[in-house]
Amino acid sequence: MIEDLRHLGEGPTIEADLCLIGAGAAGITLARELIGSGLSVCLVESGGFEFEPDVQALYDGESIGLPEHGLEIGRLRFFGGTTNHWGGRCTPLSDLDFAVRPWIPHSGWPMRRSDLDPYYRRARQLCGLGEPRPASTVLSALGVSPPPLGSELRVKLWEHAPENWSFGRVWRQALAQATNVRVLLHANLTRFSTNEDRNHVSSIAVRPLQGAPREIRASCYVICCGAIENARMLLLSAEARAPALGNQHGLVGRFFMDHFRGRIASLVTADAQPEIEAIFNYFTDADRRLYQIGIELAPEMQSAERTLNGCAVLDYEGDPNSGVAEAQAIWRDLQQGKWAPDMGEKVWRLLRDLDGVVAMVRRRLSTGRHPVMPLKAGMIVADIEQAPNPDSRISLSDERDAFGQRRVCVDWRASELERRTADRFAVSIGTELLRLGFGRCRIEPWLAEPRGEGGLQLGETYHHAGTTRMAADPHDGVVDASCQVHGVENLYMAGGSVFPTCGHANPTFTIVALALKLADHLKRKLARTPSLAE
Amino acid sequence: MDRAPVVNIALDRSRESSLRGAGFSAGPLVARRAVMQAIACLGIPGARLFPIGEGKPAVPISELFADAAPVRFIGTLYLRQQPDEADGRRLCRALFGGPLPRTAAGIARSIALRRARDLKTANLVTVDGWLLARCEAQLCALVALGDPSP
Repeated sequence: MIEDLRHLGEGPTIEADLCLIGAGAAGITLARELIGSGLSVCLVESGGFEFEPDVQALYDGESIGLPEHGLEIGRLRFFGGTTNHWGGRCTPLSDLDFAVRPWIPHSGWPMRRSDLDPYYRRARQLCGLGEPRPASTVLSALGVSPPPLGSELRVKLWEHAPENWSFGRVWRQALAQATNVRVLLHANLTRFSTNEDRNHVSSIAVRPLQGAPREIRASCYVICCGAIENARMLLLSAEARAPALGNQHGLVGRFFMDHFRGRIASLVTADAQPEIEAIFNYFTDADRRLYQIGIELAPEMQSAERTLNGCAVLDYEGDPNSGVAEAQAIWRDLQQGKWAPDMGEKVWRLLRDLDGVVAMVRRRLSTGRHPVMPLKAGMIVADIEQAPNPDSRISLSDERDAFGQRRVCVDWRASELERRTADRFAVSIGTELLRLGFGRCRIEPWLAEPRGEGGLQLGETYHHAGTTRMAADPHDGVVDASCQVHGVENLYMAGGSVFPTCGHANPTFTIVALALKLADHLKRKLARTPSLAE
Repeated sequence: MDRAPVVNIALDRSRESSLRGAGFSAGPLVARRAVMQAIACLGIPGARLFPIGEGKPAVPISELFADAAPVRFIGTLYLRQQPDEADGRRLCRALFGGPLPRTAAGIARSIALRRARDLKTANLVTVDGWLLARCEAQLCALVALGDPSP
């Protein structure tokens, strides 16, 4: 059942076994997993089904560290959350990502990768992926023979969710038809009520921007609002003589992470249509599933060189004067119903390079490879893991939102380890590409600056994580391995905020896997708890 | 595998000094162009090292390159960073295990072997960010020094 809080008006306290706050990847996964479970579930979402500027404005805040534009444009506040503009790249974290790495302070999860493997398998369906297949099988089906990279690097295969795979759009009907799930739109969490010891949440208040508030009482609550908002929600729970929920050790909002993305090297190649482009690229298989092939740092290299994790793709700059470029431009124009004034010239340039165009069309049809213009240059674009850093943090600003609640302040910080990782990675890739005869690389000059004087000239990816990190010991983290907030028996966090470290993997796949694990935990826990909704 | 530290040669260090001996007076923009020209001369492994003259006699070595001036320029930069290598015969021993081979093809074969070894052991030099196997920089240095006495 889906309802809009703006139209419900005043009424009695809503009761449920489980209240999920936030309908993004984590919240929708949890709700969907609990369909038919016998538990009553209330999923509250700040927005409606579409983007609304006044709702989105509730995300406004300030950024006082490295530029973090993701604060406002990286997140979406309506049903489906940030999956409404998700790129769809899916890959699990690696074994080493979960381990304590002595050269990375604060690293290590209170679980192993193998603990999450069953949930990664189940996450595939949520993310629209097919049956799991070994990478070698996929590569063979795609007709790609990866080169023998040296011991420092590995070929990386990414799977992609189908295009426009918004969790809101895909799972909306299932939730609407579920008899045990009640979705409340335009419901913003504005207050926690707890018992005197503040170790049990008794109820929460939700309200729309215009309309009456309602109280929700549940046996358990899960905050699934994204890594920045998760921390903000907890920080806002502070009272005059009591710290914020889960913040007895001052950790809520600390360890904010994002992946650092940007060019680490440029590549020149020996000929116009090199072999490299036939390997490191996007591919579509016979079932129209999208894959991407890139390069990642081998775990042995990370350990030996004491680096973070990282991955890279090759980004090709095509020749804009080629016939393929003209064919693409004409096709785009025609799709949009446009007739360019210089259409005659474009067609002439296409015809002059007809051989190239025909070869590209043939390649597309026979191998599913995406058309690439004859190459001018290549760029090596890396995603570098961020080291956990307590000074990289979310706090509350003095500005207030439409509910009078303090807005968020993001102080995103990098360390020398990220720059050194990017430098090592660039040199390794450049060396391998040179050894394999693919081309010669120019390492970005700022990477070679002695003592890191060039700074870290990489940008953000909106892969926010770490602000309510997971740790077995309450002195080291905000939630335990089951995602329960330390010291609050019925409050849980879901999403990237619980990641102690973030590897190089795009976070959504792991967010979904962790949400599935949490769903199993809550089913077991709530089976032992008398139902409030009865 | 133990990594040798990468020798980084940045162009701005050469800004103030003249490199006329290498055929350039090095403002940073001119220097950058020279580096790119030299990179083009060195080519990509797998492609021919000396596309214009594999069968040519190897002396003078500078004539094996389409344009020796930028190669000389990189060699000069490298020697400035590694002054103890400014000895033609020593460089020849390091590159070829003995005197300069008699033909361009002989040089190309030796350099290809050395380059594979350097890349395997990460024995690298960067010049303005461009990644070179150490032997490539040493070959440039040999050109900069002029032909070694037999």
